[in-house]
Amino acid sequence: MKRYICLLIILIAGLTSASAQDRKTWGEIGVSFDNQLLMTSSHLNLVHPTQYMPGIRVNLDVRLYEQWFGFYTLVGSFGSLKLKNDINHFGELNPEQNLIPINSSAVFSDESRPFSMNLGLGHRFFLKDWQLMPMLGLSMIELSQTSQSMLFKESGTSNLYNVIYRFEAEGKDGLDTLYGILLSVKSSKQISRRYWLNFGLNYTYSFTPVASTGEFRDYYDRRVLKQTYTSARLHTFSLSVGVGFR
Amino acid sequence: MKKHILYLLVLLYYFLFVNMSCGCGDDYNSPGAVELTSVELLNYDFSGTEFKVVDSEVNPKAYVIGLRCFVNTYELPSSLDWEQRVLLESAVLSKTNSNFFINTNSTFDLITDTDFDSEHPAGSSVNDCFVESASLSHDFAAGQLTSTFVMRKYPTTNNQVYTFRIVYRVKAEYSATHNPNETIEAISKPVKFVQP
Repeated sequence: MKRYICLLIILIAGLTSASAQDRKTWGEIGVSFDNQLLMTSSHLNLVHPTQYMPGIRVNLDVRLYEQWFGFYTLVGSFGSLKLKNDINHFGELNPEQNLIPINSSAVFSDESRPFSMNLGLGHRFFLKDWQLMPMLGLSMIELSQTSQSMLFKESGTSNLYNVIYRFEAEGKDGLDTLYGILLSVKSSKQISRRYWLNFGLNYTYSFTPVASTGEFRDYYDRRVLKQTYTSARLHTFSLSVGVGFR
Repeated sequence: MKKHILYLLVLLYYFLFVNMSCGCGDDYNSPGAVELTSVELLNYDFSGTEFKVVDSEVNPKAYVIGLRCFVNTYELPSSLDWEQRVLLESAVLSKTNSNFFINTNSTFDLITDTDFDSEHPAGSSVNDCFVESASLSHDFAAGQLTSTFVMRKYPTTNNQVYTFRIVYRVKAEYSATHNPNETIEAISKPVKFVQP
């Protein structure tokens, strides 16, 4: 307990103590390498969902008043949601189903790379040589609908089936923007006159659920013969390391 | 200070509206006025991944009728009299504009010349026993087809020979190659349905 009180005193002293740091900077433009972990509130019907997604985070902080800053960040991800492995929820690839995949008509569109934008407010604190900025903001994650479809021919009959898997914002049907809240803490340390080393810890909670849908359809009349559907809320947790110019 | 707030407002504006986009449609090139001149029906076996022409017998569950529509395409505008129009080409219609003939009613009848089942005696329409698919002919048929009819209800009698007929009725007001109220028809070759 004493240890925690001491730490608290040190923290308060650090935050309130005068520092040699320049407190009147206009703001910062920064770029960071982002390591994002994707989590959902419940089990989604995905066989191999992506959980780790690296990316690049670009941030712009503008000083509004005293130590209050407005921030805007753009995060572009290198990974994709990789739904390709999710096929076969209906056993369509099992030999006993007697279905032949027609490769020429297969469409895999799992290349969509989600990017997100965040906008909000932060307050800068000073802790010896370090600066800390807790931030609160709104988050928009652009999933870009990820879907895959495949055409199957039943051997011995004229039956054709479309199998379609989609991963998207629930109820949006093509408009896959997730809105959420962002909690973030950025710590910075000066490394040269204009450049700062930044470490960020970011958590996003999406209010819009994401949905995983699978449909087994008749090719001719588009009737849905079998369907799977699960939805969940997306959390992302990321650690970022980068440099900022002030 | 005010400048900073202005920057922030501009960013906010971008943040809110960056997702909005204009989905502009492709330019549609009208094919002109399409006149149906004749039709042809072909029997296919679609048990594999390709269409095979049926010689004599086929499993009814794999039976597909192929339709070829021979058409004349005239230059627009379609309000001109037939004599004044310029003939662009005579060809088999591709699937892209198969739903529109200027000289026929929009509906057609697929008729069985043999008793199909208790609900479909010889001479009756079996449109409800088939599903039309223009995309199937485009994706799978080796020969040039306008559309296909895939059998979805099967006759109750095995080892029976069937022929089917397609009938388009010519409209009175447009008829360059046919008389008003005439029909444009084709009959398929006899085919025996054999259940494996």
